[in-house]
Order: sequence, then structure tokens, then C-alpha cells
Amino acid sequence: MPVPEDIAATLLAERLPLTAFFASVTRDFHLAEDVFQEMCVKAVARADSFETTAHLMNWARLTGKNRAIDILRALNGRYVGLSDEMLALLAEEWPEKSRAEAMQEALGQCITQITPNNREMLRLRYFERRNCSDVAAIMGRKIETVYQALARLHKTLGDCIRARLQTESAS
Amino acid sequence: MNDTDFLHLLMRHQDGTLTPDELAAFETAMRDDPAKRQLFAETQLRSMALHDRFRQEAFQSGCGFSRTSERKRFTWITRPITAMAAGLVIGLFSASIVWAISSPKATTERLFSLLNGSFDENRLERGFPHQLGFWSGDEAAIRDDQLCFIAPSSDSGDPTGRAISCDVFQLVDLRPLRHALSPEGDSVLELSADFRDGRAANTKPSVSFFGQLYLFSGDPASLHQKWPQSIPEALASGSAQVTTLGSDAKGVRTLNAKCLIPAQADFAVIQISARPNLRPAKLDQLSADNVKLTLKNQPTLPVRIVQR
Repeated sequence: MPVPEDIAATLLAERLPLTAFFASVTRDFHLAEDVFQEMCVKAVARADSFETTAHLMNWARLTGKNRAIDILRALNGRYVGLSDEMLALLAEEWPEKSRAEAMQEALGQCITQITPNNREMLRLRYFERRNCSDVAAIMGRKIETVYQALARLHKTLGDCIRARLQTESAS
Repeated sequence: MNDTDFLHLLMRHQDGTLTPDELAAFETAMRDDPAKRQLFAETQLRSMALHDRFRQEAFQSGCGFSRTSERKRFTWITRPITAMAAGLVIGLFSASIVWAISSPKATTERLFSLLNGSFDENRLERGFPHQLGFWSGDEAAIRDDQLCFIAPSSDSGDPTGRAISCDVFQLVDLRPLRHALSPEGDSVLELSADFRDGRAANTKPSVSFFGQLYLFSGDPASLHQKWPQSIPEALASGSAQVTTLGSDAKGVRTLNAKCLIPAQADFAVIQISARPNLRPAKLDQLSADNVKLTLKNQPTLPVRIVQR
């Protein structure tokens, strides 16, 4: 049975994958972090109920997902998004800490290879909480162009990250 | 569905603009293909990592924090004070991890350089403001001490652009504040505004209200000539939004947008907006009130997670 400090350590180590999962529900990365904070406090408060780390992680994903849906219902009056069944399926296969850390490291290299304009688009979208309509207005583009550009950027970054990880594992 | 089409749908899912049919197709693609689920998870993870990276950059440049060369050693998180309390709870139990919370000497100061935030005075002009200290923007009116949004217009600096939202602005001088800014560079400007959707419950289209602030250096009187093209030149910005479908039990919604204040910021553009999510649409019974600007020193996080 994990003790409270193990629970805190595990959740903090898994912060990126967990918040990324919560963001699949909230579609807002700042809100996903708030969900993570609330879930951490709940987890520590009920430390004696977790039998294993796997149990803790399953509980964390489920609790965070439910809290995220509650917040959206409170904010918008309803939840529109991925179904419970799909979220459960995704949760079973969701990446954990080791993959997230390797990806973050490679991302740091790959992001230096994109143009300043594309970097600004990513910053507006993922840091400044701009929706794509706002990004389009700010950058003087059509919204469909922004969707296409973001999709292309994710593909470029994903390919670059995979290539770097493969090179690292081969060496 | 190929990966390119899937990623395009995923970008629209992140943006919340998938139709029910598109959402169903998106789910079917993932249900039928484990590779699509993996692509979804990888993209979500990468998006969150991008969010983290840009935030770290903002704090490192804004607060003068130096980046450690030991990777994975420090993580910076921005959190409101309420969340810092939550961090403390965990920190109390943690032996191998310390949540070091910087001294909580938060100070808050209401700024009265934003004028007529309660809309007591019936002065409202059209177009992007040319000078400091009054409200000006798209078609709107001040009635019963509230700002009533009437119609979206295209921006004066881009008259051929689409009329997406009804925007009202005020330029606020920040230079008198310089003496009050935290020497650590972590002073935060917070915009707060109340928005009311007075339509009957579940009225369509939905409307998104926005509170936004942009910080610039230079001459505020010339900004109208190239707004909104000048937005990328902002030194810092913050935004908050809420979407409503008529009145509900929550009543008035208060939005808070905040951003760090760079030392060289001379003025702020305060923008409050109502955007119908189906156009064209008449803006009816949509209003704003109690617009406030607050300077906070050390109001956010600095929670440093140190892995020992």
C-alpha cells in the first residue's frame, strides 16, 4: 500500500501524461492543470485506500476525468466531447511517465526546427488559450488554414520526435 | 481515414468545433484502429508538453529565472494562491519531494487608471480608441449602468475582414505603475469583468464572452492605425472566455484574464467582447459590467517542485 509521500511522488512524476489525459476532456490545458491539482489533493487525503500504484493511477484518471466533465457541465451547462467508453479505452492505453519524458526531451530539439511564425501559432494556441478562430484573426489567416497548419505542425513534430527517439535507442 | 485527416479532426476536437457527426466519425476511427488511439494520445501529450514549454519560457523571461542545465530537475507551474494551498497539503506529506512555495507576500491593488469600469458615465465611442481612458469599439450602448453589446463589426484597421464579434476597448496607461511593480518581475495584471446573457434559457446561438488584455510599449495613440494586425507585437497578453446559451442558474459570469507585466510595458489594451457562435446573429440582452483592473505582486505560484 503506498504511503502519502509515494502517492505525491507518483502523481507529480505522472503530471504530464495525466494532465494530457484530462485535457482530452476539458480541451483546455489550463483547466486540465486545475483538475490535476484537485485530484492530487483528493488522492493524498485518501491515501490509505490505494493498494498499488496501478490502482492509484486508474483512480487518478477516472477521478480527474469525472471532475473535468463536472467542471464543463458547470461552465457550459452540458458536456460535449468524447464518450465515456472512448475515454475508458484511451485510459487503458495512455502513455506513462517514461514515454512522456523522452518525448519532452526530443520536443525541445524538434521545436527549434520550425519557423518563428509556426512557433507563434503554437504559442497562441497552447499557451495563450486562443481558440483557432482567434489564432486565425490574429495571424490574418482563415480558420481552416489554421487547422491544417496545426495538424501539419503536429505531424512534423511527431515525425521528428520519433526519429530522434529511434536514433537514441539505436545508439 | 488517413493520419492527416485524423489530425485535422483532432485539431478541431481540441478547438471544440466538431459537429456531432464528425465527433462520431472521430470516435469510430479511434475505436476501430489502435494506431489512431496512439496518435491521439501522442498528440495530446505533445500539446500538453508545448503548453508546459511555452509557460516555462514565459516565466523564465518574465521572472528572470535561470533554466537549470540538469534536465528534469525543476518544473515551474503557475497556479493561483488557492491552488498553492493544495500544493502545501501535498508538500506536508512528501518526504522525497518538496513543494517549495515562495514567500506569499502577495499584494493586490485596484487600478483606477481604467476609467468608467462600472459604466456610470454614458461615454462610448465608435472604432478602436485613439487615446487613453474611455471605452470605444463596435456597435454597443451604455444603458442602466451596463455595457450592452449590439452588433459585431469588422475591425477599423481591417474593414474588409469578417465581423466576428462585438468588441469594446479601452487603452490604459501603465507607466505610473512602474514604481509598484515587483522587482522580481512577477507582477501580474488581472482583468476582471462580469458578463450577463439575459436571453431565455437555451437560446441559440450560443454566445462566447471574452475578457482580454494586451500589453504594449510605445505610443498608444498610434495603435488604432494597425489594429488588430499589431496584436503579435504585444509584449504580453491574457484571455478568458465563457460560452452561454441564455440565462441559467449561474446568472452573471465573472471572467478573469491575467498576464505578467514586462518592465517595458507602457500601456494595456483592455478588450471585452461578445461573439455569437453562429453568424449573422443579433446580439440581444448581452451585457458587461464591473470591469476592473488589478495589479498583483506575487499572486501566482511560484511553486517549485524539486526532485531530490
